[in-house]
Amino acid sequence: MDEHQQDHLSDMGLQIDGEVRQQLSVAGKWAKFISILIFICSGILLLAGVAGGGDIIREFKNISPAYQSFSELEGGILIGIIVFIVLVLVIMYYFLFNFSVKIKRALLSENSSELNSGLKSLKIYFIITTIIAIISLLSNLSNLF
Amino acid sequence: MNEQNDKSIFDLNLDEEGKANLNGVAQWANINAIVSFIALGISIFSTISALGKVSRYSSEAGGAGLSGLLITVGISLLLNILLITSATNLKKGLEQNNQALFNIGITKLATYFKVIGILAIISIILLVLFFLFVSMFGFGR
Repeated sequence: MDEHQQDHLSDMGLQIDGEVRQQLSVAGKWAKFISILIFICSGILLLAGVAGGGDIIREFKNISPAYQSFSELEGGILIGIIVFIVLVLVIMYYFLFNFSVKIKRALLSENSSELNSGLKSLKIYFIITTIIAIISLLSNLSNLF
Repeated sequence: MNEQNDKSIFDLNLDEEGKANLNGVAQWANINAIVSFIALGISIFSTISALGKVSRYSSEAGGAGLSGLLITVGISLLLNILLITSATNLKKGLEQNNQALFNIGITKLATYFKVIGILAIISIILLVLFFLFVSMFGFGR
C-alpha cells in the first residue's frame, strides 16, 4: 500500500511552478550580471597585466623590500600567471553565463532539455568553484603551519 | 486564457535528468559551503593572530583590521548560510518529492546569486570612488 502511494507520488514529480519559475528567472538574471561583470574584469586584468606587467613588478620593488621575491619574477612569468588566472575565471563564469542563458530560454520555450542543460552548467560551475575553494583552503592551511 | 496560463505554468516538469543535475548542484553547493566555512574559521584565526601582533605597534591599524574582519565574516556567513540552506532544501525536496522544500531551495539559490550581485555592485561603486579619490588627491600627497 505504502509502496503504491510512493509510486503515485513520484509519478506526479516536482513541478516548475510559478514561484520556481520566478526564482529561476531571478537567479538567471543575477547570474548573467555576475558573469558579464567577471568577463569585463578579466578583460581589464588581462590588458593591465600584459600592458603593465613590467611596471607592476618595478612598483612592487619600489614599495618595500618585502616584495623582493615578487619583484624577482620575470615579466613573462607574471603575464603567464595573469593569463592563467583570467583563463580559470573565464571558464568558471562561462558555465554560470551558460546557466543563465539556458534557463531563460527554457522558461520562454518550455523546453526541458534546455532546463537540464542549464542545470548541468550550474552544477559544473559549483564543481569548479568547490575545487578552487579546496585548493585555496589547502594553500591557507600550508601557510598556517 | 486560463487554459493558456495553466499550460505555461505546468508545462515544464523536472524529469530524471533534471533531478540528477539539481541533486549534483545541491551536493556540490553543500561541499562548497562547508569548505568555505572551514576557510572562514582559518581566516579568523590567522587574522586575529596577525592583528594581535599589529595592534602592539598601532591600535588604529588593529581596529581597522578588526572591522574588516567583521565585515568579511558577516558577508561570508550570509552567503554560505544561504548556500547551505538552499542545498539542504533542494536535496530534501528532491528526495521526498516535496514541492514546498524544493521551492525554498530554489528561492534561497536565487537569493544567493542576488546577494553576490548586490555585493558586486557595491564593490564597483567603492572601487570607482577609490580611483576618483586617488586621481584627485594622489597617493600619499
